[in-house]
Amino acid sequence: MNFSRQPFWSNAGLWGKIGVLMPDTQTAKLDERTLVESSVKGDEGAMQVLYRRHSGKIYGLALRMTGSPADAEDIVQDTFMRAFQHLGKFRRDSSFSTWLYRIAVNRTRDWAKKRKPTSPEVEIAQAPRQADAMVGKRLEKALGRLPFGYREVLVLHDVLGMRHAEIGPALGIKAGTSKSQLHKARASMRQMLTNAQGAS
Amino acid sequence: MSEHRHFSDEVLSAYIDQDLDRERSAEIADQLGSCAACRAVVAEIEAIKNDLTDLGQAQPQRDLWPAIRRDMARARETVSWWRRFWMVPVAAAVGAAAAVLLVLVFTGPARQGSVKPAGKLDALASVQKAELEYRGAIASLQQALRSDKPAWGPRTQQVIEDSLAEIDKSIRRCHQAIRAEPENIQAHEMVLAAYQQKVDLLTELVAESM
Repeated sequence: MNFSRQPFWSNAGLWGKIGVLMPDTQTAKLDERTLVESSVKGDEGAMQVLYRRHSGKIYGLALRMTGSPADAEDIVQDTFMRAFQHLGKFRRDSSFSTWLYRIAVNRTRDWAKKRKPTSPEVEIAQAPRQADAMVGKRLEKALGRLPFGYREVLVLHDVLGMRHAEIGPALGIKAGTSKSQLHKARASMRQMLTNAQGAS
Repeated sequence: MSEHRHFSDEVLSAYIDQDLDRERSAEIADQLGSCAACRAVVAEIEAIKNDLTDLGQAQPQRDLWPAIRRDMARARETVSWWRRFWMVPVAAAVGAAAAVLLVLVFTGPARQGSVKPAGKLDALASVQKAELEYRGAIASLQQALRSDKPAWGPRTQQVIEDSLAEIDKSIRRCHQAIRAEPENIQAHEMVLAAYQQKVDLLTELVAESM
């Protein structure tokens, strides 16, 4: 009998369906390319594994950009729906996560365009760990005051831990521009935090 | 006493991330050894960076997967509804027009004399009916697009407008050809194909905007 050397869990058709019942440590083994291919064919189990794998970071991005858990949830929902609807258009020249971030970034940009102009700054939602810390409050307030472009790069790099090589394609900018935006963003943050400290 | 020069926050941030070349990094390292103010800025930027990392990965307060699944199913239904909406009357009209045009093709220009004038009139009437159905479908799709107000970027918007303009140009050219030569079967076929192209594009845009 001829046994395939391919690991059994790489079959997303099967694992797409079973994987949703598995702990994260197991679904982490599923090959992303196979999951994407199964999702293109309409395998909802594979889509769900992709959702579980990426929803945290996409939510983190949306939450830090909007400052509103409800708006962030809408953006996550919209991002994944569009991604799965148009998965056939996904070209394999970038990773699935980069493509997904790009959709999420566009959703947050649409959100920013539709936002009422009366609220110039975004009250960034606090992570529970920092809810009581004054420094956390100041940090999040400063983040909400950053220009949108700076905030995008800062959140993707410093909050979500992405590399410039990933941020560039996700935002449609060059890696060098991402670096320069990041350093400007940090400088603005320090300036705002210093001023806030002086004022208090 | 030499003049003391501080580095900007941006340069110090790049130093922290090791984004500078070796020479520049060495220059800043020297400076940090002797400048307490620059050391303080580096410490502050590093603290900001660490605090931001601490904001970490958040999780939605509820499981969004059921809602995503529901939205996808709804979108599929809406698209198929749109397709049905324009497909039934348009397909019927186009089918009738195609059948009559086919008869004219088989009778051929050499045998045009053998085709009764009433047959030609029927063909033209069928094409006009199909055109009317297409126009109705196009108006409905454009109405749906206006009500959804999708937020496409300026470049995408431009591509869409250019594509639609190109199709409209083809339709106009076909109409010119038909006016000059009302029995030009190819022109009739091409105008219907152009309408079909426009309907396909608009249907895709409606699906995209959901």
